Amino acid sequence: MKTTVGVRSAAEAAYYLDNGAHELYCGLTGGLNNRLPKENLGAAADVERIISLAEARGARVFLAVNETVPETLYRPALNVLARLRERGLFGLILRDPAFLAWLRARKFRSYVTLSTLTLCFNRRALEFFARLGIDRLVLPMQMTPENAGYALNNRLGIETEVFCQRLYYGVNVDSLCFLPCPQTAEDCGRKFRDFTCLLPFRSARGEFRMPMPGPDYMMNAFYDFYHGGAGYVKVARWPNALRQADLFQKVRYLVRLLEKGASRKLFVHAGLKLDSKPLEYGKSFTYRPVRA
Amino acid sequence: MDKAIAFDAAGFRGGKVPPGFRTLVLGSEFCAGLLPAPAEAAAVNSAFGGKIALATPLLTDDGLDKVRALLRLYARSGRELEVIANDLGLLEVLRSAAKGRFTVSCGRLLANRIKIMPEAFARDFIARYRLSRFEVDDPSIMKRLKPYGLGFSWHYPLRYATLTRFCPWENRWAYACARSCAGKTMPLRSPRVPETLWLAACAYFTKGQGPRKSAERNVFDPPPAEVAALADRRKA
Repeated sequence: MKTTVGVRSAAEAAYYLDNGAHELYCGLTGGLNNRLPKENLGAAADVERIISLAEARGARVFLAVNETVPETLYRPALNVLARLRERGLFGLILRDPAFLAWLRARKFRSYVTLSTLTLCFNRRALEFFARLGIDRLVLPMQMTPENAGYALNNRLGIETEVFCQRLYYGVNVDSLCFLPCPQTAEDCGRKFRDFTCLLPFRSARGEFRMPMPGPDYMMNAFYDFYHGGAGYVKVARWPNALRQADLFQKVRYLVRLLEKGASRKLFVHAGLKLDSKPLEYGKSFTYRPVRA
Repeated sequence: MDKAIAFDAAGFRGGKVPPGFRTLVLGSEFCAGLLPAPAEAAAVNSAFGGKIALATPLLTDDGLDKVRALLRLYARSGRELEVIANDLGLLEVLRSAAKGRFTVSCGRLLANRIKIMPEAFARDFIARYRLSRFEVDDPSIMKRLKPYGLGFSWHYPLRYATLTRFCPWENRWAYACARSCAGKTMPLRSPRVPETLWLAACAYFTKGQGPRKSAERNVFDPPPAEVAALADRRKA
């Protein structure tokens, strides 16, 4: 299982490449990707620097364009992608089937990873995207290994990528979530203070929190994804560099255990000892709460 | 204007549809565990003489098989069926296997995806999958989908906010469902969130708007007592 890591600078790229990342990906500010501006690079030249670093170490670089692309931006986006491809960009991470179809109609050839945000949950949906020429599918975060056979065992030549859910998990289906949060909503002219999905609620049953699977389930799921043939594990971008590096090292540690042939019992036991707050991943450090 | 009422399979309870509702929306747009089993669907067929619309959520391969079995049942019975689809894989199934035997309505989750498609692509998509109307609960989505010229099926009194596949009622993956949520809605309140959230099936909702005269169909969904009281208060 190879490790795909999101980066925000050449310095981060060098760190991850030196520590065993097989692939890097990044986004461009204003370049239609699903992360906060500070998690992106400022200019195409920054991407080119990362491509040079990766090429020197034989690694690949992807550009994330994992938002819906307005039609008016198709042509400018294509120009940027074509230039970056000439400089060595290996592939794209896309979410929007309309944009992908448009690129393919213009004979734009590039390795394409279909973003987890596309929510491709079954074999027939995968066949739809296969016709658009995808090369890899990032499984929906709320996909369980029991239901992932359509992707892991596909005969369409499509590679698969997963999240390590024990370290990174979203309680709701993120591309269909319209709850207010600091990334999407405002309250009195300021960013909404809270991630609604993480708050305690009062209910007829007492305190209610939006639930997630237990850590032991998640460790078992990662074990099953690995042995089921998932080719890549993703370490997503994070505004806090140290926390992301910590997560990367934990993922690498777990993958090394699997590569050494750890039994399920040993693997789960070792994973449960890791300090992990998967729901805080990408959240706690994206904003500062408003003080009264 | 058609009036419909939505029930999950277990909530139908012997076919007692209140008077005035001509269409029964059976199943769920938000949880595969609430799809009717073939035997349940057959019982509903016998008990209810009006139109039936089968609501379906995002589907894994297992869920897709479950819906396929229901489609076979309806095809055999010769009964008219509308399918409310939210999953791209199901649309592919309906396009290739069903060959227009069923009316297909675009579910609320899928409508959220179509609303952000470029217009030309969306028109092709709608034509390819023979979508006949949009299920909606948010006026802003109606506005964005209006150019496509399809009718709207308006769901009230709640508005969709978010979805999980890890069941909030049973704290386990929804495919192992014991339907403990059937016919239930649970209000969730926090001083840090401006409005009450409502948990129903595997989705969370906020308070929506009442029935709309401009809609082709109004769907009362879901109808438990607490939500019904909310609707009555609005009416008053």
